[in-house]
Amino acid sequence: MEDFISSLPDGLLFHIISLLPFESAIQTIFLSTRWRFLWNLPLVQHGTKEDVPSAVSGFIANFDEHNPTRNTRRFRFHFGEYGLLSAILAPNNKLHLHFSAENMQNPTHFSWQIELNNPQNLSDHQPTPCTFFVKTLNLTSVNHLSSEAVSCMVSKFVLLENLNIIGCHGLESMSIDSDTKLLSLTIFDCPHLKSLHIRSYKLRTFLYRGKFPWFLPEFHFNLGNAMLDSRQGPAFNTFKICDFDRVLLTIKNSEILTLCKWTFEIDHNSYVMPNATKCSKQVRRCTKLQHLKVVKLEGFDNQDNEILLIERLRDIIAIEPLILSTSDGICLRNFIRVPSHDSHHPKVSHSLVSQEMYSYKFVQVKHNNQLCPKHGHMISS
Amino acid sequence: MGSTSTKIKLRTSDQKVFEVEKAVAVHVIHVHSVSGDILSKILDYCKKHVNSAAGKEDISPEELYEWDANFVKVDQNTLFDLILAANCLKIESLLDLTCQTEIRTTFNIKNDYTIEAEEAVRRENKWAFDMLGV
Repeated sequence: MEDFISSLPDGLLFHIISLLPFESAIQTIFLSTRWRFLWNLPLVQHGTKEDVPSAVSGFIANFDEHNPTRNTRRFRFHFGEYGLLSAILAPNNKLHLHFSAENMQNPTHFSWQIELNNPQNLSDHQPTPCTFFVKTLNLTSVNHLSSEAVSCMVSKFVLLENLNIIGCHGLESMSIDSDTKLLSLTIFDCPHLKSLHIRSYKLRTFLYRGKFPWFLPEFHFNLGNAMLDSRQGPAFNTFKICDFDRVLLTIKNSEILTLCKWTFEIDHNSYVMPNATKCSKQVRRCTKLQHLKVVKLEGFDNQDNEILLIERLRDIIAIEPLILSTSDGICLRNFIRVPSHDSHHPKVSHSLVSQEMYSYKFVQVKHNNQLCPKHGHMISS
Repeated sequence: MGSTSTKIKLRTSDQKVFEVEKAVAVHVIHVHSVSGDILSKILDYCKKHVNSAAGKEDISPEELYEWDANFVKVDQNTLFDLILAANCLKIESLLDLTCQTEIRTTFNIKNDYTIEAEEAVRRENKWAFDMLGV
């Protein structure tokens, strides 16, 4: 018996499998290599930059999961001279908008304002199906040409809960305004971002990776899940400790917190914190880290710095948490304090000397996956 | 979290009793609808995959992929029973494997994927499988 079904033309084959529910239908890409491109078939349109919002709305409105002739999830819109928008409608009301990344070396800088969930934005238009459809939005490589179109589109997504902004070169200042619905915001890899203004009541998750901008969280929102990964340091030179205060207010009650590369000078007035390379903490409903359960230190160059950080942490922790340390991300060492009454101090290479008379040792941990449950940030993105 | 030497017992529809390591049998199981032969095959599958993931067995991804291909070279009835059991026991990877095989057998489709090509397709279509995160 011959394989007749694979020799059907693409359109017909796609028509057949889109009669299946999406989760089953997508599995057909693994049947044989002939099937892998079926889901790549996009709807293609051309237009101008100004047409982008209506084109995307049209694409979303036209999408019908149950109708094989309208079951296309991919959309390619060509605009202007080189502009290309690729859109994908993913399951769970998720929309990906990926703009073509051009001129990454010397991008034009721009400011961007996004206003969300404001019912007044709908007053002059009839609500369309797409208004209520998109709950999660992924924006990639938005630039100075496309930002206005995106703001216009996004303002109509009344039920948007999760916003992810990635790789926007040239983005210098960003303002996000969402009174009501926005629960999660992720901003990754926007290398020119210098200032970030977030106005929100309900924001619970905030993940940031990139040079740390001047950050203004307006209104007070309590983050349950925060990641601030600024391994590349601050975005500008006149950074001061007090710029962090507002940020710290938002994260103090978080349940999951990851801080990467926070480097401080010793400031006599406020915080005394040493150099830190990466410090990942699991925190439960607390203020001033009362209930810190696990501290995981990663990537320190030498043990003296680790010891210093741990001693400083002790100033703000009530109960001794489990402290783990790893230099390669794989082997964990458990950090144990051993009281020592002789005058032998651990070697300290800078002027801050350990006040307590303790020496420390690291004990290799065997079953490291038993010790601390993985939290959300450990899933690689 | 127990150590890997904890064993649990499974009783099948034809009253056979199997004792397996807890790491291999991941969920609470109702096996009264699965026969002894099928369960034994399923345990082989689970053991192989758990051991290779834990590094206890020295097997490359290509070899594992081939092992899987051989594993499903069975008659239609057995394949069908494996599908039902994988569904009942909620073993996603086995369910995917057996359903794909069933479809390929029905339509006579030859699987010309290599493990790398399959991984590439999975990555290209991350939007379709990615349930959480960015």
